Amino acid sequence: MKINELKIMKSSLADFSLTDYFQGLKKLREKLDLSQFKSIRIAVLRSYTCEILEPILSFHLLLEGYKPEFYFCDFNQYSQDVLDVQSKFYQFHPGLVLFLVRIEELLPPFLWSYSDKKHVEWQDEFEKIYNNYVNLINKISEHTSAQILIQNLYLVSNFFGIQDGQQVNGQKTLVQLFNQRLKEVIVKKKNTFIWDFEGFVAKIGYNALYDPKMWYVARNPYKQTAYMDIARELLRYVLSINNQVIKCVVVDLDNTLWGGVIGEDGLNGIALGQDYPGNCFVDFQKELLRLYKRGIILAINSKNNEADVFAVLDKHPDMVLRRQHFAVCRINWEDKVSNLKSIAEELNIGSDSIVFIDDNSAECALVRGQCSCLVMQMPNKPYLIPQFVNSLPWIEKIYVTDEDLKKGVMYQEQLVRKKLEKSCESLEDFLTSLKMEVQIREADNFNIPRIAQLTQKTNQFNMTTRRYQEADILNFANSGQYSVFVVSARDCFGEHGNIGVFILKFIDQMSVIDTFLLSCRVIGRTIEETMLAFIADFAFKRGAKRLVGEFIASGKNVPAKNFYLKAGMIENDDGRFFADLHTTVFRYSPYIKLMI
Amino acid sequence: MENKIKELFVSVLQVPIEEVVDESSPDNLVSWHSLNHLILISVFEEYFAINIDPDEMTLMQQSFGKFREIISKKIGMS
Repeated sequence: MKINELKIMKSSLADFSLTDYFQGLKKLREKLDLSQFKSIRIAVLRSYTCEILEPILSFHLLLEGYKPEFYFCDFNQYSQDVLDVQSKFYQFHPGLVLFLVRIEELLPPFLWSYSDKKHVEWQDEFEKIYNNYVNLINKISEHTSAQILIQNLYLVSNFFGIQDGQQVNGQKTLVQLFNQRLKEVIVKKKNTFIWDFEGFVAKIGYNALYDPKMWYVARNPYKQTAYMDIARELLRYVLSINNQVIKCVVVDLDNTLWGGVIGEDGLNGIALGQDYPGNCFVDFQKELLRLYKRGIILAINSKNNEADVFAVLDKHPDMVLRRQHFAVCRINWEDKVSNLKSIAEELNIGSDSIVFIDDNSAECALVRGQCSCLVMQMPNKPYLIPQFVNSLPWIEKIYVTDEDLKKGVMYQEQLVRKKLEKSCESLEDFLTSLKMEVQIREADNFNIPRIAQLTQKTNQFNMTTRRYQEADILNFANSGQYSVFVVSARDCFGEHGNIGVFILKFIDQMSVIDTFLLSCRVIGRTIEETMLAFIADFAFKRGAKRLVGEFIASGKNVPAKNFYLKAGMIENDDGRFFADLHTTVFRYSPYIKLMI
Repeated sequence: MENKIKELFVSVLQVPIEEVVDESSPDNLVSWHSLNHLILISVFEEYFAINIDPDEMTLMQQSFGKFREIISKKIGMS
């Protein structure tokens, strides 16, 4: 099966019907070679019929490079499954648990006999449910290392109808309080997340979900077609939990960022402003700005005269996005494929983590065929454009770190650095002029999310490419056998934030470097030399006699390949690298001031 | 259209098209279990924009022949 065909499927998912899912799934199963696909084992603990999630989610996950396997607990038997450590649920060894339980099955009297009890008595009932949830979550995380996604509660209709909305302590309040408390539980637990079902129903509408025929015939509450929406929503969680998030959105300009063609219509003639259709493009830009604020990089790829475009970016009163929001601008008459490749190169990211948005179907087809980025064509109706951004499942971030919030600015600073690099006579001059400062700290609760994120996302300068979840990092940090460090850097242009991680394991007077990585933003700055020298000193002080490093080729980490060798370590027959800590001297980079 | 019915049918049950004959039923087609029957109903309702009543749902579970007959009637081609 051609990659191209997969990409077309991926970019047209919004229009998929139930039939398309089944026919698409059949095709994928027949034609895909799954040997390189990542395994994902999904256990569904549920109180209602939802088996149709399996084929629909499978289809989505196959398109994302996963090979899914499913387990469904028997109808409403989730507690038994979780409490019995011998159960099929544990034998399945789930990597992801979907905990799909509804108030309808959880507490039926609350719906039908609400008037039988007082508010405080219902509070007690919810207290019991809450304790049971906490107990089940703890059990699951005690016996598996699975990520857990918990559906929160939604109450469709109130026992007393519209009167409930007038009550300070009404029926709905109890449900909302429960959801609130659930959030407080998961904040403290790594690897546990909430599927905001309440928010999902608000978005999609209960009447659009509910299927009375299937409910009364088969206890299947939701329309089969609604499970497409449910699956797409769940996909957002699965992708972002596993950090499968796009890094950059590249946009065309004419009829994309604004209506009309700047080269023909001029600064005053393009559609951008308070009236239709200009207001659609303004809102589209606001949506893109939201992504920028989340840490997704923006870039431009457009056939235009640069001066015309910069006039719009700098001077048009209704532009939301300005020149500083775009990390890279390719405004020229080159073909868009070459431009995309050079954007990826300049940002030091893989093309496959880019989404390219263009209005022209011929350009879209061309790029799709020749670049590994994902191509989305703009909707042809202007009023559909703003919400189109939100329909992309790859833009969610379930963890937003401090680095994400500052990323846009950091990339801007990076551009200035590159210009300086070009103007400096030698690399040494350049490195000296940067006045770099590096700080190395042990992992703590504040930086653990970022550490996990770095292990998930770093490809190029990553010696072992071991991917870890927050819970793994926490375990390392708490175990006496491991030490986890995070490296942050700044230079004369500004902060880079946390950009490096290393994890050391101590065994038998040896210090083994389990993980050693550096974000692509700072490759080639000699920071890695300072990190390794620090490791050697630290390991020596802890009593280690030998330092052991590994290089595991991932296909993407070529830049890291010879690092240990160059630094003076010796390659053994087993492919690992060794250094005697008594005799080997590791050089701290002369360009970096180390702050500890 | 007869072909389309069979094609949709096998895509839901994920079985080779040769395996399905008029005599096929939930008794001899493993993947035609009750949950997949619901999915079949929904897929056909969506694809042909028809509505299948609970009584008809039960009848359609007798055999593929019956299934096909009821769908054909609904889309006005029998």
